[in-house]
This record gives sequence, structure tokens and C-alpha cells, in this order.
Amino acid sequence: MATTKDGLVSALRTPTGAISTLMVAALIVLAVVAPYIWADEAARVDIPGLLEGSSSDHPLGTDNLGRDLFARLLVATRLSLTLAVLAVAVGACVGVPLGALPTVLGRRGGRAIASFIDFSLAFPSILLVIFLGVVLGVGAHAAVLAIGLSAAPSFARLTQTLAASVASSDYVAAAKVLGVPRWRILARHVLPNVAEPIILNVTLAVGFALLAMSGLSFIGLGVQAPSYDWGRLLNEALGRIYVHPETALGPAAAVVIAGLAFNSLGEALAAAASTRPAAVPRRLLREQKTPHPASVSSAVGADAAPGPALVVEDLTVSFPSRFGVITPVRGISFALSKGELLGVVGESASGKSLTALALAQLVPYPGRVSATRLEIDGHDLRTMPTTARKRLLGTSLAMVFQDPGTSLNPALRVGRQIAEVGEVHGGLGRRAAMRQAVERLRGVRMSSPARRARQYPHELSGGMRQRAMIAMGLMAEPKVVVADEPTSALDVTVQQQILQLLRKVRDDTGASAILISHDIAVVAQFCDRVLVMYAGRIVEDVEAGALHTGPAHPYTRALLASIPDMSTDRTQPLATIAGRPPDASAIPDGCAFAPRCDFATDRCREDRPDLAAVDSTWQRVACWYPRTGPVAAQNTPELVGQ
Amino acid sequence: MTTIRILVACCLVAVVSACSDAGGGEGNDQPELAEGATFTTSINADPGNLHPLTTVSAITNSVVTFAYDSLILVDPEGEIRPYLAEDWEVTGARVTFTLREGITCEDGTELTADAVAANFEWIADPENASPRYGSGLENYTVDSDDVSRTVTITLEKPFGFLLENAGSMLIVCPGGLADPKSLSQETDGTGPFALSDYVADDHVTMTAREGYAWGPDGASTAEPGFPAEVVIRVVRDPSTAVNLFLAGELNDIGASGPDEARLEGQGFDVTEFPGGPAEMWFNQREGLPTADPDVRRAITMALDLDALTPVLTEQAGERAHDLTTILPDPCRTDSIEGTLPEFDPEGAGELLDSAGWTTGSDGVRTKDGQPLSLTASYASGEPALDAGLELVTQLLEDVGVEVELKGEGQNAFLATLFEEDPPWELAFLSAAISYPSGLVVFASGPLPPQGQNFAAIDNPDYERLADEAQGTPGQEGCELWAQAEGALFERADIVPIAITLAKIYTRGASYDYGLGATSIRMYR
Amino acid sequence: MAVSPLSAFRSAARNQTARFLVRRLGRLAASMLGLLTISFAMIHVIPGDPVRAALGPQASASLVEQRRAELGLDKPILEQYLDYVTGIFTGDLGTSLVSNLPVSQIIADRLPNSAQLAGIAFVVIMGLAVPLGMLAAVLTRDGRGRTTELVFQGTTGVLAVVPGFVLGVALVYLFAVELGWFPVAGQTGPESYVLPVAALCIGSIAALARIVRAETLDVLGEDYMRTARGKRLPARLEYLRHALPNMLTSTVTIGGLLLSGLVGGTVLVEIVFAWPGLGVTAVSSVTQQDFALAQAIMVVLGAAVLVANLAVDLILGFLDPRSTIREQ
Repeated sequence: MATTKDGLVSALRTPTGAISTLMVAALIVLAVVAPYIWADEAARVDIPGLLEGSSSDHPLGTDNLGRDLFARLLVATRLSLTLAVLAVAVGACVGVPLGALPTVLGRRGGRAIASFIDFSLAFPSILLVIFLGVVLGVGAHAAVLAIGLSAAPSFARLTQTLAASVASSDYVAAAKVLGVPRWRILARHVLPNVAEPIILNVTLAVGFALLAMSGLSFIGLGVQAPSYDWGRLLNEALGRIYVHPETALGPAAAVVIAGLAFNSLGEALAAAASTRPAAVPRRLLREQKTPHPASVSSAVGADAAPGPALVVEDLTVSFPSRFGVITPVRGISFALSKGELLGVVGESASGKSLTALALAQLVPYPGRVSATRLEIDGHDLRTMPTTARKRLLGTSLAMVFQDPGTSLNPALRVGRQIAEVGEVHGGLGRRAAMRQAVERLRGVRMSSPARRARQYPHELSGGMRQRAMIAMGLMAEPKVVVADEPTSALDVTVQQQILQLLRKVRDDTGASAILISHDIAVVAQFCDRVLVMYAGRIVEDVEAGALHTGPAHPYTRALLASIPDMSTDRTQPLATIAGRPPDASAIPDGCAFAPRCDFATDRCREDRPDLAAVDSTWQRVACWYPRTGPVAAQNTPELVGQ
Repeated sequence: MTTIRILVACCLVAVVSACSDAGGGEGNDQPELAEGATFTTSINADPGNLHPLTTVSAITNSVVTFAYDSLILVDPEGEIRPYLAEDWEVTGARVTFTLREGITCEDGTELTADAVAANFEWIADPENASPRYGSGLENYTVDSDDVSRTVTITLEKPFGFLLENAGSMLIVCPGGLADPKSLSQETDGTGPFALSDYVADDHVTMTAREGYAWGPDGASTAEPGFPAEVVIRVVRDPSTAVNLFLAGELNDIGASGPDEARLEGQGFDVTEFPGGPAEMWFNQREGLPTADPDVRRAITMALDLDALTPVLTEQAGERAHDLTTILPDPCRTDSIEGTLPEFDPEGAGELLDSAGWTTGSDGVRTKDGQPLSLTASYASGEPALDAGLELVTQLLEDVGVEVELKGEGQNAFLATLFEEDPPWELAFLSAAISYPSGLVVFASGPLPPQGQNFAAIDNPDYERLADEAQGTPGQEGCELWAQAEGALFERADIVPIAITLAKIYTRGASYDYGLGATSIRMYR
Repeated sequence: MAVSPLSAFRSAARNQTARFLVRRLGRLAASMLGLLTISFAMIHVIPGDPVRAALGPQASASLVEQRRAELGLDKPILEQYLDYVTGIFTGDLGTSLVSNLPVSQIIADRLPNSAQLAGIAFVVIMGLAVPLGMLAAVLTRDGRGRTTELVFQGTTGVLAVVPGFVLGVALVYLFAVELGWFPVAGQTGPESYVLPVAALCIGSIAALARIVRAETLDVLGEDYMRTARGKRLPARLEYLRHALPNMLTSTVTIGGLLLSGLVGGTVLVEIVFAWPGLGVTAVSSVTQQDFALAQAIMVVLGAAVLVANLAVDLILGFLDPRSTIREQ
């Protein structure tokens, strides 16, 4: 999440952000400056010329004392904005503490306050405003109080919701356990974290306060003579609106423009602070060129086992961004045989997850996928007509995502989500699809499958949810199962069960599987073959068995060496690989691993090695100086150091 | 005497209709009359409870006059026309009405003198809390004789407008009088119409009664062009009402100020009506600066009433010359001539100096350390009044009087006006009084809450002259009333400023408002 | 006797529902009492003498006193409060100070008209704003459709901010006075509903559509939507079966707030269109300090709000399978 400063800056970059900031700034300047320039004009009485329409002298006409309405409109900016800001200040000062109370008061009191906030939020605010206006007397002071108090409930509700989510977080729970008094928790932990969204809402609220003031004046309870704001000007003009509409148009436009400016600014700030992706500059969208196909080794083709389940050649994923075009996946090529268990391993930002998404054609907009070959079960995805391609992807490829908790729709029953695959792609009726779904659930060793099918995802444990995801994928007899970190969110025992399950699927149906993980130990244990990815490229393609005897790439070796096992010397610090993978927007020329490689030479830094076969064993590596021999154990000179 | 009265009345009718025709645009050249048509008009608030003898609302009154009659009609010129009473006799403290024959109530029964008398007895009963009782029409006895068809009201104290006041009261038929609750949503009168539908906040429908022939001067519902129905729509927003009129959904509309521009020059008939005068009153309670007559005169002299008039009336009015301008306005006098202090800012300054109010360095006058800072109370919401008060503030500032405006909603303003210890020194209001005698309770007598003298006026000259005038009927009485008002103006107890001339436009119909509903004629 | 776990679960769920309802109704009753007391206190706190104001300056002092006594306003405040509360239960809501009619009749005459207007407006707003917002979200997801986004945000931004009464007047001027397509004012048949409903709806549709778009965008960005896309479901299923149900919670909540917002909106619209509803009476009863009427209206509207809240909570409770009916 962006920091406030970043948020502000990025907000200003969007067109709406820039325009609304300018408008708000202009309004503030006008509010300060206008009375000095136009006050005399606005006060000049001209009785013979009263109640006139627009003319060359008076673009917006004159009022009941013949005063120029345009000048009055400009001068009124100060009072209108001041009152709106004051009203919001009142609302925030009353509402925020009120909304923070439940976190301090505990269950009983908190609930009472919460109900009170609910009720006052729902009570028609206009009645409250009128009522307060009558009690407090008419005029600006009363109007500010009235509007402020009627705005307080929404601030209270916002604060309450935010504070509740902060209060339920772990560090607050820890503070409570440590005996920190409630009010200090409020001041130290809760309030600073809710400050930012509240400030954003203040901006929005100013817009609405302006509207509310004008409505109040319409009823006659707003600003009184001799003061005047836009609302009072609007009220006076409405009696003449059919005769001289321009007299009402001026103040109405002022209210609308100011309200719009504040609202837009508030929304731009809010959008910048949220985690939604920033809009991509259009220019870059257009410019996004298809990257050059890199020269490809003949790794794929005759060497692959007959009738491969998946053939990928020069797969590339690129994104236009503020910094130019980023290519997180650069020219991946591999083949997947039928029934093969392929592991893909790498650090975060190696591009492994995007590769999986690219295979399933699920790369988020505005990313672009390109490849010279992309075939599932012999069908070329690039040249198929849309309907057929959709059908192929929906049936032959099954995706299992990392977090089963968020990957299942919480509003639908588990069985429904699974069965619909059969309805849509399998041509099954409702009942038949549901029966099949239950069958699949049984197939993934789900206990009480029929009952589970009728439950919602939140009623299942993490492991059960992942099984359900797998069952979902199995509905249409897939040829390839792509599992992206399927066990990272689960505990170790469940991990093993899921991996066993994947193997069972392969054994039962002959489907191939791609297991993506950052954990080379898991991959080495379960897969037939392993691809190692670094900085968007495959750096090694080796049989799992060969991992123990001799991975060729220094990176692979370092990964293996860093796995602690029962014999690791516990007196030494854990081995890590020095440095960090390069950022996707700043990948160096030459071998991307060179900066971190102990064996790198100048050639490595200048000239990037392609993926090429090593010796005669079925192994490919992208390195000028491939290593041989088994990997040294931990704590060797090879690896020590920061 | 009756014949002469009728002759005079007829001439006056001719004069009046000629005047109203001249006042309007190019009127229709006698288009064809329409039979069985509906006259649609509007009011700007819900009429609420329709009991004619307990309502205080002018709106409600305007609705119920379609269904009820009174003993006589006071026409716009102040002349008395026969109505339910074909004849009458007034002597100081007593009036006798002779009832016409053949008057029927809605249920068909004939209206007797006893039934009429019962109305006056009803309002005298404090349990009924009728606002008709009082203001001169009080402490009386009623006699009636069904045979001679006479009703006699005898007062303890003579009252100059006894005939007009008693004769203008709406008469309720016995059924309705006995069951007041029934009259809240229904009517039971002798009028040319009877209520046939009442949807709250939406409309009231009145249906013409066949056989009605006892309107003012014997007007009847059988006249050609008489409407079969009257629909009164509730339209709160004046501009919306104008929209409806322009769209042809209303037959008449009252407009003033900017709305007039939408209606001018379109060939609609126009009748002009004066509104109540906008007035300035002073809080004269002891210890306040405005208790000093010189201060009041000075303030009056500081105000350019001729300049205030177009502002207060939105260029649709004129200076007020007395305090009673609402029709029937029997006494049309110029009471400000020679009595009300004239516009003279320099003179105002000198007068204030001599009263001990010297100008300070900030321009505000002080006396004994107290600044001459006054609060002006008024009912806010009308742009014209707001603007007028801003002008008053400026004009008074020019002579060193500081003014703080305190505008409130209509109801809050009335409440403030009548407070026991009011927070204002100046009050601006429009008192809609049609008889000079109606002013007495406000310009003399006990203060609230015991009475209605909210400004604490204590003017012995006025009281003496008013007392004399009370017992003197007719034009003589009017002379005395004029002098009484003059006494108020000399001491600047009340300052009349301006009256708004409202215009009523009609289309597809003609309606002589001064003569009542029986004058409505519908055209094609 | 063996009880199957399923039926035990079912009956436990029923008990939970029953307990939830009882608890909520109890809270409703308590809130109602609080509301009655607060509205009573509030109205009586307003300074000034409304009886004099209602009767006008012409009424004699004795008449004012009499009316005051008639309305029980000279009794000690506590006695007035007790009378008021007991009156509510017997259905006697008192007499209006200003119009001298029974309050219950005034409300009964006008409430249906306002309710009609608000009800129709509510249906129209929800029926248009939700699909519009969702459509806008689908067209602009992930930063697509920049022009569409600009147009949508711009239009809804302006419309949401135009004051409702200005919009009403503009509509009347254009469509009723100039073009003559619709009646100028009053409740005179089906065509007379069009302009008032439009004046009520336009701003709210704009504002709500923006919110719906924001909520939908959030939902579309969730992982389970990616799963749905991966399943290559037809668009209809993807959005209606997968996205929409996750939007319902916030949509229902917003709907609840919208309903009470409409009460405010009707006041101004009723003035412009001469609509015989409760909104205008509500305002004038407060400004005129018509005690009985103002209190009754506050109670009626407050009760409506409370009931709407309860309905929203119940609906949310049943819609969202994650919330147990037990209180958290």
C-alpha cells in the first residue's frame, strides 16, 4: 500500500486528480481574495435597478437592492466554503470520538453506542437538520451545528468500522494481553491507523456539506441577512427562476462545481490510497510492442516424449507500466509429457506464477502474452477460434491456486461451484453435474462428500478447500493440472496429503501436473522433472533425480545447498544466497544471476547464456560454466557470507 | 332607503367593474359563456379544520366562504349590500337584521332567525373558543323572532363597526352548529356551494346548489355561466401555482413581484388588491432607548420610506397612508399627512444629539456608556423583506444607530413578538387589519400574556380618540379613527411603510372578488 | 432416542433464529421508547410560544390561554409526557395545534402519498443504479475503458451533486411548462408521478451507481473471480452468479440508507410539485412547533427507520452465509 506521500503524488497524476486539485485550489484562492476585490461592488445599492436580469453591466442580474449578483456570487465563496468546512469539522470532532468509543467501552457499552450510531445514521438527516435549526435558531451558527451534527453519525460509523478492524488485529490483542489500558490502545494504535481514511472522507464530506447548506437555505433556515452564501443567493433567486433563470444558475453552478471539485479530489485521494492498480498511461498501452522472439534452442521437438500434454515455446509476458514495458516472463520454453510431474521452482519475482497464469490465459489486464508455440494436448491455443479455445481451457487445463480460502466464492456452496463446470462444459444437467461433483469430491478423499458439497467454503478447513479446488479442476478430465504454490498456505501434514493427492490424480487419470513452488525440497521430492526459473527465464531444466547428483547451474546448487536438514550444523548461521534477484524493470544485460554468482566472469556479465543441453544427459542449463558433481552440504565456503 | 341603497350599489358595481376592467390588459370582448363548467383556483396551504367560526386562518376562510353566507356584504368601496338579511337597522349599540325569506340549508330546511341568533350565542360561549368573539363584538345579548324574521344584537358598549363586523360573520346551519366536529371536514351552510370532496393537502371540491337565490343583492346560482363546481387546489409553491395557471389548469392566480412578469401582457384579466402595510414597531418598555419618543422619531426620520417602498414591494406597491388597508377598508384616510415625521437624516442626528446620544469614535452613538445598538426582529424568508431590512440597517448606520438583524421563521417570530420580556427593540411586521378598531388591542391595553399590546404602547391621545371613535359609526367615525392613528404617528409609536399591490389574473372566467363567489362566470 | 446430527443442527438453527428475532424485537421496542422520549423532549425544548403563533396576533389573550389549556400544554411537563406515551398506545396522537384536526388523521391522509413516491423512487433507483454500476465496473475493470470511466465518473459526479430542488424546478420548467408533456403539479394520475419520481431519483441513481461500481470493482479483483474466469464460464454466469451475490451485502446496506435518505428528498420535491404528502407537513410541524403533530411524525418516521434497519439486518443475516445468526 502506498504511503501517503506516494498516494498524493500518484493522485495528482491522474487527470481527475489533477483537475480536482486545481479546482479546489482555485476555490480557496477565490475565497481568500474575492472579498478584497469585489466587496464594494457586491454592496453597492441601486434601487432603481433592482431585480433585473442579466445585462452587460450585470452578467447575472441584480438582487432586491440592485446589487450585482455576479460580484455577490464571488464574494460568497468565502462564507460558503468556510461554513462547509466548519460543519465537517464539527461532524468529525463529534463523530470520530463517538465511533472510537466502542473499542474503549467493551461489549455492553460498545454495543449500545453501535446501535445508537446505526439509528442516527439511518434517521432522515433533513429532519434532524431542520429540527436542530429550529431549536438553535436560524442563522449560520445554527446551520453549521445542525449540518455538522447530522454528519457526525457517518464519521462515527466509519471510525467504528476502521477501529474495529484495527482493534481485532494481532498487535492490539498483544497490547491487551500485556495490560495496556484501553484508552492508550485507542490513542497509540487505533487512531493513527484510522487517520488516513478519515481525512479522505473529510474531503468528500465538504462537498456534501455545501449541498446541505444550500438545501437548508432553501427552507429558510440557513444564513440570514445581512450575510450571504451561495445557498441564500440560490434561495432568493428561486422565486425568480422562471423569469430570470440566470440568477439561479450562477449559485447553482457554484454549488455544483465546488461540490464536484471536493468530491472528485476526495475520490482521487481514496483511489490512490487503495490497493487497486494505478491506471496505466495510455501511451504505454499503445506502445506495447510484441517482444522479439529470442532465438530458441531446439530443446523442444524431437526430444520431447511422443504426444506431449503441453508444449510451450518462447512464452513471454509483458506489462506496460509507469516505468515503461516490464517483461516478467522472458522467452520460456519447455514441454510437458503425458503423465509427467513437472516442478517449477524459483524465488519470488522469478516469474513462475505468471507463467502458470499465462498458460491458463489468466494474465490480468493490461498484461500481454506471446509465444511461438503454445499447445495443450496438441491444440494450438494461438490459432483456435474463441469458443473452442474457451472450451479447451475450461476443460483440459485445471488451475489450483495458492490460497484456497480466497479462491473459492464465499457466497456459493462448494458443490455448486464444482458442478457448474460440468453444466457449462460437460453438457450435464443440474442433478447429473452435482452427482459428478460429489464423485469428484470423493475422489479427492474428502470426508462426507455429499454433505460437504452442500456447505459453504468457510465451513471447510484449508486442506478440504484445496481438495475442493482440485475436485473442481478434475470435473472435466483435464490433461494438465497447474498447481501454483498449492500448499504454501497449509500446514505441513496437510501439505503432504495434498501432494499425495496430486500424484494420485496423475496415477488415476494420466493427467500431467505442473507444481510451482519456492520450496525446492518439496519439488525435488515429488516431481519427475524440475525447471528452475530466475528473473523470468528458465536457467535449468533437470530430472528430479539428477538434482541430487549434479545440478549444473550455480543458482540451483545454491538453492539446494541452502536447505537445512537434520544434519546441519546448528551452531552456524543458516546459509542464504547473498544479494537479491533483480527487479523486473531493471534486469541487467548478460546473465541475470551474475551479480550473485561466485563463479561469474566478465563474459557472464556481458553475454547472456541461452538454455542449452548439457552433455548427453537430458538436462538443459543456461550457464557458460555449468558445474558438476553433487551439491556441497551446508556451511561450506561456497556459501558462507552475507 | 332600501331602494336608494340598491341604486347606489348598482352604480358602484358599474364603477367597480369598469375600474377592474381598466386595470387589466386587453380583456376578452364578451366571449361565450360556458354552462356547467368547473372553476379551479388555488390556495397555498392546507385549509385544515373547516369550521368557519373557530378557524383563524385566512386560507380556511377563503375556502369556506363558498359554502357559507353572511347577513350582509361589505363591498370593496365600503358600501353595505343585502345578503342573507334583506334589511337592517343600526343604532349605536344595537343592530337589527331582517332575514330574507326562503333561505335553505344544505339539507333543505329553511333558515330561521332563531338559527341565525344561535350562531351569535355560540361564539359568545367561551367553551367554543371562537376568535369571532371579541374586538368590539363582545358583551352582547341576542334576540330573535321567527315570525318577523328579525335578529337583534344589543351590545353593552357601542361599537362603530357593529354592522360590518356582525354582518360579515358566516352563518352556520343548526345541524353543523350542534355538532362542531362534523364541520372540520364537511360544510353545513346556506351558501351557493356545498363541499363534496376534501382530500387533505390536495384539493377541496365544492358543488353548486340548485335553487340558491339569496346571494349579495339577490344573486343566484341559476345565472348563465355560473360554474357547476369549484375546485380549490392546495399548491404551496407560488411559482408552481403560476405554472399551473399558465398551463391552463387554474382559472385564477394571485401573483406579486417577479411572477408578475410571467403573466403580464398575455391578455389575462387583472384585479388589483392591496395587501397589509409593512410596518415598523418599537419596543417601548421602560429602560429601553426606544421608550423615548424622540429616539423613535429620530429613527423614523432617518429612514427614506420612499426608497424602502420599491424594495419591500419588489416594485409592485406604494407608500402606506394609514394602518388599515385590507379590504373592505371602510375608512380610507391619509393619516400620515402632517403626523408622521418626514425623511430628514440631518434632523434625525440633531434630535438624537439633543436626546443625549452622542456619536462615538466608531460611529455608533452612546449615552451613559450604553451604545445605541438595537435588535430588529422580523419573519425571515422573503427576499424583499431581507433586502428592505438590510437597507434599514444601512440608513440607520448613517445616523449612528447600530442595528442587529434577527430574522426567524414565521412562527418563531410571532412567538418572539409576544414574549413577556422581548429581545427586540424594533419589529417589522405586516398587520392585516381591515377595521381601525382592530388595532386597539395592539396599540393600547394590557401587555402579553394578559393582552396583545406586544410593543407596550402607551399613548393617551390615541386611547381617548379611539374610545370616541368606537362609538361613532360611519364616516364620522372614520374621521376620528384617522385622528387616533395620527396620534400614534406623531409619537412614532407605529410607522407604516408600504403596501404591496397584489394582482389577481383570471382566465376562462371572470370573478368579482369583492362581491363573492356568486359573481363567478365561466367562459368557453 | 438417537437424534441425527443434521436435525439437531436444524433445530439449533431454528432456536438461534428465534432467539435472534426476539432479541432484535426487544431492541426495537427499547429504541422506540427512546425515540418517543427524545422526540418529546426535543420538541418541548424549542423556545417560544407556539400557541400564540398558531392562533395569530389577532386572537385574544384569553383565547390563547384557552387553547393552551385545551391542548394540555399548561400541565407540568411530566404529566404531559405520560399523557403522550399512553396516548400512543391508545392510538390517540393528539390534536394539531395549527389545523385543529386529529393528528392521526393528518398522518393517515398524507403518509400513503409520500410512501408511494418514496417507494417508487426506491425501486427505480435500485433497479437502475445497481445494473448501471455493475456494467460500468465490468467495462472499466483493471483500468480498461478509460473513456468510459471518464464519462461515467463525470456524468454521475455532476448529477450526484446538483441540488435536488434545483433539478426538480428545471424538470418542471422543461417538461411541464415548456413542452407540456407532464402535469405541472399535484397528484393527478399516473403521469403526474413521472417528474417528481425523476427529481427524486436522478441524483441518487448517480451517487449509488458510483458506489456500486466501486464495490463491484473490489469484488471483481478478488481471487475467486479469477477462479471463475479460469473455469471459462459464460459472462452471464460469471457476473450474475459469482460477482453479484458478493455485492449484495453492501448493496442491501446502502439500500437501507437510501430509503431514509429518500424521506429527506421527498420534502423538497413535494414542495416543488405540490404533492400531498407527509414531507412538507413534517417540516412545517417542526417550524411551527405543532407539538402533537411534530412528535407523532418523528415517531412514525423513526419507527419506519427502525423497522427498515431491522429488515436490513434480517435480510443480511440470511443472505450472508458467513454470519451466524447469533450476535457476534
